[in-house]
Amino acid sequence: MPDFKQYVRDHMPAPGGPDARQAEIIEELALEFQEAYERFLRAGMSPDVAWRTVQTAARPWPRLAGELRAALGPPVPEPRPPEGVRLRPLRWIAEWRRDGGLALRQLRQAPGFAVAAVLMLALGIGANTAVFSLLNALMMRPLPVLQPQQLVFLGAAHAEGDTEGYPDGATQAFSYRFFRDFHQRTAVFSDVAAILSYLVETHGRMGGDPELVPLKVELVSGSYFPTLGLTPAYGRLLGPGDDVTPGAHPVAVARAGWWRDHGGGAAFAPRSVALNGTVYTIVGVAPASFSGVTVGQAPDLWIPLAMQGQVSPDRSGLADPWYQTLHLLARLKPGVSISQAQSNTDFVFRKILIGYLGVAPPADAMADIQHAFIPLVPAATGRSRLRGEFDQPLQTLMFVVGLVLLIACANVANLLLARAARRRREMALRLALGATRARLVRQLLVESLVVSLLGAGLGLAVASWASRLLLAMVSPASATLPLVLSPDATVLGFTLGLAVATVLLFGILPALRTTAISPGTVLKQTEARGSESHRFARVLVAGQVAISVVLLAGAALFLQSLHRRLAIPLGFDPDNVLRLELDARAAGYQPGARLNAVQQAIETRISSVPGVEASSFALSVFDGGGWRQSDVGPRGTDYQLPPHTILNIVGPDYFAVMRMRLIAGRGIENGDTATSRRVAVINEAMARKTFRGSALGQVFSVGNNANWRDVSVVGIVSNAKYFSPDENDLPAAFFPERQNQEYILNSLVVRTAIDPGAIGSAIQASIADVDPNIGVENIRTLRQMVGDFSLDARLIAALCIVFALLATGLAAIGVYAVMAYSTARRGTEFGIRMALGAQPRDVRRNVLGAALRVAILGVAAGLVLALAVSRLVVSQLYQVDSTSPAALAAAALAMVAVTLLAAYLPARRATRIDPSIALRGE
Amino acid sequence: MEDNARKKGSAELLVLAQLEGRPRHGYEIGQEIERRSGGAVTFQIASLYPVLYRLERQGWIAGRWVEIPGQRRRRYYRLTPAGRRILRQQRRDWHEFVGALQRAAGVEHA
Repeated sequence: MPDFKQYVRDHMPAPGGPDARQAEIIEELALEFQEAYERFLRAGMSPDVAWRTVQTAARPWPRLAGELRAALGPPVPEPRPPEGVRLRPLRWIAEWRRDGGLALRQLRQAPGFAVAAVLMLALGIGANTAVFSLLNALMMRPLPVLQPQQLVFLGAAHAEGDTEGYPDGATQAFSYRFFRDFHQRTAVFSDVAAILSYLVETHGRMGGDPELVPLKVELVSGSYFPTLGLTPAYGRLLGPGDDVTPGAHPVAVARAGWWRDHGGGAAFAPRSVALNGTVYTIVGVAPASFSGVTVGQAPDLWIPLAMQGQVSPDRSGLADPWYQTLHLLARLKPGVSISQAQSNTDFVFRKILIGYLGVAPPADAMADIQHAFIPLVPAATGRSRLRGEFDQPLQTLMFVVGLVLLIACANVANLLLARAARRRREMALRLALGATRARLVRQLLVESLVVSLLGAGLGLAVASWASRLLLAMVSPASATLPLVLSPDATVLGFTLGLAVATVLLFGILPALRTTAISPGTVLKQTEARGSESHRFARVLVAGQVAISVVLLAGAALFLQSLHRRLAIPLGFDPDNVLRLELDARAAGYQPGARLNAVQQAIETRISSVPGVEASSFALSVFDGGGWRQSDVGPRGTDYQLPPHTILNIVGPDYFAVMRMRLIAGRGIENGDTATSRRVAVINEAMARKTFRGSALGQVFSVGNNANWRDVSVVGIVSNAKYFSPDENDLPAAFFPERQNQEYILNSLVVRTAIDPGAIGSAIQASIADVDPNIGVENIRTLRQMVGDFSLDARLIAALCIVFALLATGLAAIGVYAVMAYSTARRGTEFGIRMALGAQPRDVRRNVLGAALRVAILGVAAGLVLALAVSRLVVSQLYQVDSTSPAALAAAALAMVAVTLLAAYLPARRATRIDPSIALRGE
Repeated sequence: MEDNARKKGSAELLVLAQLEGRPRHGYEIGQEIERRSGGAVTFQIASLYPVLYRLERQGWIAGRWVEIPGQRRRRYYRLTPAGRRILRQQRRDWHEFVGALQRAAGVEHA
């Protein structure tokens, strides 16, 4: 394609006028030629012919140039707007623009000041924006759906899983049948959608691919996308027609990101995905911005709830009105208030439920249902489990970075004060020439605003990097949480607000000080009023020291708490253990003897991999290690012995893998088979609580489960942590894998003699040797899993340390700057003193003494402040007193030391003043 | 001279008239004149720009660069209130001029 701009440039004689205007004209004309050229191409001409045609059909250049010159002509003089009220805003804008231009020139003349101030503010504002971006993404960002403020969840929509009891009290899980009936009978919602309360994590095959890929499936009602008011990126979304007959709708909608990652291009064509023996057609792709209504969780596929029996055969009950496993999301009809919706919803809810009880409803069920209600929860920002987890840490962090910004502001204010001293003559001159003080204050504030906006701009860049880093830090090791961090209007508004707020913080006082002069005095003499500014500067520095003490104390507390947490004995050895999650169902297995044999084959096979010491299947491992049941007790009791007992099903080598110590009896053995006596190994806590000591050989049962009736205790193992490191000692029982074949054991643990990371692929290969169709995922070391539990503690400790150091560094800069400025000003004084016989030591002591006074003032204020805010962090500390004297003392000492260090350099410089030079300056 | 002024005036009138409904960019204005006149009135490529710039300088139209994602940025022109007044006035003038021609040439109204 010809270069049209160059063509125009070559032919057009300069029409005159400003360069920018000329560039615009060239661009516009070039566009005209290009449009004509493209039209000729579309008409079927070859490029050569099209280009020649354009040139001949164009206005001849000499004429065009002449006409352009005439048209642009000499510039029309701007009519002067008459002075008057009507044009006030215009004049106002013009003045601000002039102030802005002046400010930029001033900053260019003081590049050192400008760079230092902008960088400090960029750090402060950037840190704030980064933390706020995360808070915003997690808590505030509205769902990218139609009118999200009309959406409500029916109930808290937090609990995952299923329940079969009668609803009683606040209800959040609902049956599919209830959803259908409610959808029909509600009078207050324009649409209602159902979502399975948990994400189904499974495996499938794309198209005819032999490779098994992990899939996160969200089962939703056909009304899901219509309720949200979404339109497809490609193809179509699910509709009510896709959710009618159980098992008859093998269709799916893909998340845009997943579709892209799996080779879906812009040209949409339906593809198939095989899942649990059913082939689904991906009929469309959801909009790119949409990844479900759960913040921080992104399903790969949405499949109609009617297919629940196919997607997860063992957890399905579409027809059962009491199989409650759905969350409901509804859109309020326009004009319906939340309280109207609330009362109608509860009314319809109970009515439908009572209908399910039939003609002779049991009294207890009726009583329960009469107490049941559905709190309506605004759903505009979706839901998220992460909120509970990170809400507090993020708020603490927000507070911390707020303090860092304060310190940065104090530094900038100090810089401005120092500059003010230098600019007093300029200000005096301008006052003398007739400028009002208000005018000068405004000018100075505009300068501050320019600095702060530059800082905010750079801060946004800092934040985009830092928030990504933060997100990586809060994400589990396996995958970054899918949170949208790109700045939206809320974040930009926040940053802009910060920029303006910082101007008020650091700019106003210096501006007032700078201009509080009478022109006569200053023009005549060079030194005046400096000491007052200087006092103010010292107060600022003391404030910085105080805030740094708070942050250092906080960092010390969090660090101490983290240490305590990491030092908790786990009762098992998490090092050199690999945990894999196996999906045997993806390979078509059902619970039973065949699967049990495969599990044993895998255990045997893996044990022969070089570097492996032992391996075992388990129903679950740590991090949700088993399930709790309360009806466990020795034979002949009423089975209601609190507390709940943890139950787990494990292979023979489980205790060896976990290194749980056998205290008495034996472990689980290969001989514990389906035909042998029912046995279990229990832990010390259960031995003590359930059997009051001598448990070996005793017999117990679990509820009325036939499999666990009259189970003999054959061994006792040491206590361990099963769910999280900070739980108390819980009673636990372990049952043999081979005696409990009706369960699919998903977790496999492998103890290795070498680095478990190096052996993962060999282990996967040996699983594939047994059956290549078994899905393997979530390969993690046990150490990582334990680490995830202290994720928020580690995050907050690490960030508090980083920010406390940053704050301390900024405060040190502040101390240094103020002391350096003060010693420079007192140069003459020191010169005289030394001329009169003072030793360098005395001068040094004088300067350091001044610094020490600032430090003590600051530290004292800091300790008071730290005690005042300590209760904010109580709930986030583990076995650490939030007013821990050790932490406070450490922070105080550290800050005194830092202050003295920062003052040492100026002090030393003060001793090097040559008295004769200093005196000559006077 | 009078004739030249007329010609110039006709181009101005045409451009102003195209902008009556909505803002348009330069190329579009030429295309629109051609389309509305059934192909009877065409302009050489680029010849409308001097007219546009003159009208803009007189304050009758105002140009503004508009960026539409996925497209080139273009300069869109819209009528200013002053331009709207001029358009009305020029329309009236042309009406009288054409009427006078018809009367003089003995062409009857259809």
